[in-house]
Amino acid sequence: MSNTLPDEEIMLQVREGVSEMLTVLFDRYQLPLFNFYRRLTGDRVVSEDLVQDVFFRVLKYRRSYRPGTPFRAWIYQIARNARIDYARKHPQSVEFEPEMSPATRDRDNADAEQQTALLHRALLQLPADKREVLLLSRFQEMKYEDIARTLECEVGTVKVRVHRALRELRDRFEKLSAIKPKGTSQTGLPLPFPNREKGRLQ
Amino acid sequence: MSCDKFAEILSDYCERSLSAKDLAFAREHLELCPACKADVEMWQKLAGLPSEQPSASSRLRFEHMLSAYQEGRWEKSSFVPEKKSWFAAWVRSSFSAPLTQGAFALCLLLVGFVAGERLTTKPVSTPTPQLVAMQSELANLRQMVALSLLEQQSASRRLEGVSYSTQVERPDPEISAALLHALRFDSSVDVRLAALDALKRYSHDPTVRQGLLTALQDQQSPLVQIALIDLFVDMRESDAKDHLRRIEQDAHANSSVRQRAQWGIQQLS
Repeated sequence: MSNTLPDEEIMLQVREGVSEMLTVLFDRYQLPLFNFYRRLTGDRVVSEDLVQDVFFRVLKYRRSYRPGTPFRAWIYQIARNARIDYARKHPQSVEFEPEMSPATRDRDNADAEQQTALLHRALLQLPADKREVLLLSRFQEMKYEDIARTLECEVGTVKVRVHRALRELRDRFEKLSAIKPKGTSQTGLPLPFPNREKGRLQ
Repeated sequence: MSCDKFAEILSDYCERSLSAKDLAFAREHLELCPACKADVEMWQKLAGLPSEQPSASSRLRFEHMLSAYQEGRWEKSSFVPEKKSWFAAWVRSSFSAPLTQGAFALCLLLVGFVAGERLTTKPVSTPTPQLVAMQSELANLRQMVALSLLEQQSASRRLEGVSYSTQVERPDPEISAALLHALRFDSSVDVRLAALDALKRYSHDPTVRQGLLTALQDQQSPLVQIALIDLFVDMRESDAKDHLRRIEQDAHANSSVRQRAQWGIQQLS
């Protein structure tokens, strides 16, 4: 079965012109790449566009794939370049807007969702390079060696960057959690049940 | 172990892939260093970020790109975004979504419709089968556009969907179900109010009437609650009285809503 082959062997087939094998790689990487971009940009539409761009580039630059190169590091290098090109063409950074609270829901779930939204907000406040290295190490199942290859730097540098990014994220998350403006919940987001404030019409 | 040394093994520690020796050092360091301990907690907290699914159209776009490549139509601009100007950006963003393609098809159909009526030499006194088929297709397209808009992430697009639903001439159970869902669960009060307005034309439908009563029980927004009470009075919905009494007697309910419920009970008695 072709879809049990390692990524590297499938990519070699794509490189040699068996382009339909790219579908197998798309099935394996569409979701992680989409979520990588989703967390990086905060924008679904841009993330979907960038995923398409990555697979376009995989086809276009298939000949540059060298046997023995870990495919995951190679495709994330392409993903990174696609994102950098996009940012260059669209200098206005994408503003993250957390989803509005549903009309009705359980209170505990609401708190958990707001914590997650706050974490997402803190993540999007990080400089793009720190956010990127953190996402690569936390979510993309990449070893430090692969990340170093993707970012074209030393393994030691990756470790330091991940740690600094994590610490900055923690600082920002704690600051956001401490903000408690009027009319918002403890997490700094709008109250999910506004009419619990007696007498206040939404 | 120093903080710098721990930073090097942080992810391995969290992924439980440290050797026994390093693990012992890491545990010892974490007991003494609250900052590194907080880093570990932050790392674990990141796992709570949800994973999302891309839209179904994403795979279709990929297949379109691949088949274009295989057929030799290797033209990046046809499937990969390349915003060169505001106009190109507008065209791309407007016509890439299936929803807008549906709306565009609707416009084309309308243009064809008008042109056909103007250019025809013989006045048509009775609708031909083709005309009836076109009218039916038009209605289906409107329904499709309205339902698609109601599923959008942006509240303004959902509002457009509610507004569009009122243009569907024949009352449609799928539309009324989507509007009821928006009334009960939409995150935006504006969308909920608009959905309620749009549902007025379905008020003769027993399923919708029951849905409206259920929506009153769920509703958290006083504005929507008041609008629902007004609608029940307009509809002379006597089944609403029990629900209104419960609101009137609920000490936690908004005072304006309680007054309106009291007024509603008087009107319906």
